[in-house]
Amino acid sequence: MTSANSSWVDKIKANKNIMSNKSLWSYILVAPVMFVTFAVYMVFMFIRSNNYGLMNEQDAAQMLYEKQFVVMESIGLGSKFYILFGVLGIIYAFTKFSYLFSMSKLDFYFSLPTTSARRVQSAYMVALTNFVGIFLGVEAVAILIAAAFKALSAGLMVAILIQTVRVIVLFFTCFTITTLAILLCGTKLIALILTFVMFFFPYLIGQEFHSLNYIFYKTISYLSEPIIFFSPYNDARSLADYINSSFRFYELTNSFDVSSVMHAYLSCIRYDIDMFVTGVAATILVAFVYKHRRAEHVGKTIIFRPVRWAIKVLVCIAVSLGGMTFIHTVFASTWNRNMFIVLFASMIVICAFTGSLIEICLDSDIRSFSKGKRQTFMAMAILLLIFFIYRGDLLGYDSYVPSPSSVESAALVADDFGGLYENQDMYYYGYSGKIGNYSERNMKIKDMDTFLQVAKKGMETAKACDGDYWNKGWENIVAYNLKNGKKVYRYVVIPYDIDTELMDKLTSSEEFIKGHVPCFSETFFSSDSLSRGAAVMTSTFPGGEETTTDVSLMINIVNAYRQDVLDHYKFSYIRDNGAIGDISIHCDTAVNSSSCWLTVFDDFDRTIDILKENGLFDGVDIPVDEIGHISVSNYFMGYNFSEMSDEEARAIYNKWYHEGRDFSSNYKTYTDKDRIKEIMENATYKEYVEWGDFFKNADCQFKIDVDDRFMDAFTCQFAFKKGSVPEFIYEDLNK
Amino acid sequence: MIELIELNKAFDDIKAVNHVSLKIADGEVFGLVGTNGAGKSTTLRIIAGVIKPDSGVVCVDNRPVYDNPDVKKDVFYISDDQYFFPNSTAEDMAGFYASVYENFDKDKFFKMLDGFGLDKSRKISTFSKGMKKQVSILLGLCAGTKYLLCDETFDGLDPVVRQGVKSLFAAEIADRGLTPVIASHNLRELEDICDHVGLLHMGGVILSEDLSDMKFNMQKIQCVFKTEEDEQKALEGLDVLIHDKRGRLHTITVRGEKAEIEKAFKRGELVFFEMIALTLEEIFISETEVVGYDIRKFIMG
Repeated sequence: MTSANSSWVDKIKANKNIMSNKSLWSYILVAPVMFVTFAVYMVFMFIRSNNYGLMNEQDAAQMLYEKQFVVMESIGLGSKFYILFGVLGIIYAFTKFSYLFSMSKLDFYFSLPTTSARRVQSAYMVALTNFVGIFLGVEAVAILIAAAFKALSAGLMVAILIQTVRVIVLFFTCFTITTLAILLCGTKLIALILTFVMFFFPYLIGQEFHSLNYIFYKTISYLSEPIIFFSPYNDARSLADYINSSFRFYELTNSFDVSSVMHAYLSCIRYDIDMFVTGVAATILVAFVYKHRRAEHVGKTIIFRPVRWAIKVLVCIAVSLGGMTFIHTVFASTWNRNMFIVLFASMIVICAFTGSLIEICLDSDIRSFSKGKRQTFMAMAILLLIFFIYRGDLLGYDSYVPSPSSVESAALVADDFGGLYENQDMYYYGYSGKIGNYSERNMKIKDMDTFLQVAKKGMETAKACDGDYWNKGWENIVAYNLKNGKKVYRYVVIPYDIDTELMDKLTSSEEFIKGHVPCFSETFFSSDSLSRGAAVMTSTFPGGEETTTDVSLMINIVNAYRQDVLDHYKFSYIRDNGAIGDISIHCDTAVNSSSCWLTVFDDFDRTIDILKENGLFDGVDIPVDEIGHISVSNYFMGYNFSEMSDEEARAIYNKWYHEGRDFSSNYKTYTDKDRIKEIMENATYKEYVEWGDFFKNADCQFKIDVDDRFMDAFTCQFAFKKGSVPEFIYEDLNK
Repeated sequence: MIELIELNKAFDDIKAVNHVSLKIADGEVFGLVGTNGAGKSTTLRIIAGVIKPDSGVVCVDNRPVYDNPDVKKDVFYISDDQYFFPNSTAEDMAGFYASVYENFDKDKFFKMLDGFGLDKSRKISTFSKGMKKQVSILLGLCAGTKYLLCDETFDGLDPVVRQGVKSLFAAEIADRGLTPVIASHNLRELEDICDHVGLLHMGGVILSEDLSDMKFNMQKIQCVFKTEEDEQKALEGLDVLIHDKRGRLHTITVRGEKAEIEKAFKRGELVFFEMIALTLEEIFISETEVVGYDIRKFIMG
């Protein structure tokens, strides 16, 4: 420490008494609260975790992991008690600076022999030393408890150390933001309101703009996240959530070692950077505002005119945007273009109303409702600008295509209704997420020329859709991992008539296949993983169903399947070839149940061979003789899809399927063996198709339901092959 | 010395202090008088460094006071509603002030508390308004500062305590040259303690003068003249400020020295003659009427 620093510290220490003001009794309440929150909570959770482990026969490794997770979520990086630190920051700030709301206190403090700067510094020092002292004391006790339960590891100690710094930064930031709000106000009530506005405004405005994306843009993806800056609440919550989701479940790839902890932390360090920047910005503002705040400001609502105007404008904007979002939510199911006029009018009315309400509140006088028109008009002008930017997509959101050089990798995430691998549950020791997450995490496409061509087509089609993607193509999400660390998502609709060669080029690449087909997941398809629970593999083909619990055999089959997929998978192959069966693997553990289906195609020789060798393949011939009855339904009475173009048939079908229009229906159950045979000869699996255009391969006018006894074998329904509807079907069902 | 030069302070549209210039010499008791809203408290706050003036200069011993801890070490400000820490006792407050003012004399403070019959261990919040005032004054006196600023400090004190406080002030002035600046709207409160008085009205200084000078140069006479001719002879050439007549009894306020006025009155034949000591209130009424203020309205109410 330099002598200059030493002098500064000494001066602050000398002034410490000035701000200690004998209110330490209030802090005495903090220590027990922290003790209960951390130490007592941790003990309870250790006991709970232990009991749970015993009840569910967890092995020693898992029980240790669960205890370590307790440490992580209580005093480690995943600590859920960030709200407590935020609230303490607010309470401490109000305790230290409440003198600014009372003239007698101001007389007292301002007349004491110190400078205004030193008064603030000493208030900070008293608050920080008090908080840090209590926190470190309680944390030390918590660490000792964790050590006593043998739940510590080197990685956890690193996590605790980092968390200690984070907690201090969080407290400091919350304290400073509250101090800023106090300095800007002359009354306690308004300061409290402004504190909450300052804390939640960045979060709220981020969420509102995110909602606007949903209202105005057609390529918004549910994977997109709101962009939120300067929100300690969001920063603390997001980081804790990320850490907890990373370590929540016991799995082979998870452990609390230093590299895992650091990897997880560095993956979301941006939140801490934001918090740090927020703290620094708030500190600078505090220093600036404190210099300009005068004793005579006591009793005013918001002290500085420009700040009052800015707050009014910002609150008007936030409330109006929130109102728009609410109105959109109310009318979402009945939304049409005309509703934008309603939205626009509502926005203006809400803004005017909010402006009046703010004036009334700030003046505590209902007659002030018409004051401050200029700020209200300014807010309206900004809202108009926002509205037209979004409505006209002036920022090019719906046409965003990054330059190839700016993209590190990209992924095409399956989101289509009939997706082959969609909605498969892979909850396994923390590998939580459906196939969407799998593709997003594992697909690393580098061939941006091909990818961007597909993405462009997809965005153009998505833009042309008006809530009717099914008429145009397959839903997907493009995910860009940019070189600057950002992730950008766009909803796209891959058109039915997309260039097959282009799609084949994209989808036949190893990068695509390994990121698309979940059989390449080492987390799930490894002998270690499958050995942890009761794993069952079921091979389902038209000829019958077979099962095995032999994990090594399962792994061999998966390896063969992987090779087949790599050899054959591509857009045109999957689109044009119906699957012949599937292999499903279910694995149940004490805490999780997971399952995954792998679809088998006719050319998957390696897979079929190994299934045959192990008696798990009963053939692809449908045992027509064993079918007792078949029901055929016609939902389009009077129509004949075979005489229509694909587009005409699709339009009618979609009106029924997606819009609920009734064309009147008819059905008949056939028990005659000849009829059943003829039906099955002309039938095709309806949903065993990815990238499937039903109308290209099948006649969707009729639905075929096979005897319930075969539900396990034929999990999907059948349709007639295109142009192969037997004449008697028309005779029986369409007249 | 405390020096205020062309001080101005406005609160929004209200001019609280309007071109105030005053000099407060060391060792004198300065009374700052005026009606409610005259700017007394604001002026004191400016001197104490609580409020920063919009313009003008305030210097304590030729040093600016605002945000200057070195100067503030020499100034103790007792506001009209003095703040004490929640649940604190007189002893606690003494401990605090001792940590802030290096010359704070705790022993003296406890002795004085005893003298005034105040319990040092009792919570100040349980004290009466007058007792709190006493604690404030004693804290101020024991802080060892050169200047003691008192805002309406004597209000609420009973006559016995007031006399006691005045004695303490006198002793401190004599012992270490304390310079008290006392603001009050009640002229009677200041009459027997102040050396110098500044009168504020609507933010401005109407006058600022030594009380002894004022008293020395102004006399109040009650007399009965034998004839009107005697009255004319006696008052000829005198600077009569106020002349009130009730029946044959004349009450006359005249500017001038005592001997000179006595001599002038001897020119006429008098049935009754008496020179009465002027109260501070009367001096102000006379002086301010001369400069055109109807001071009775705001002093007498």
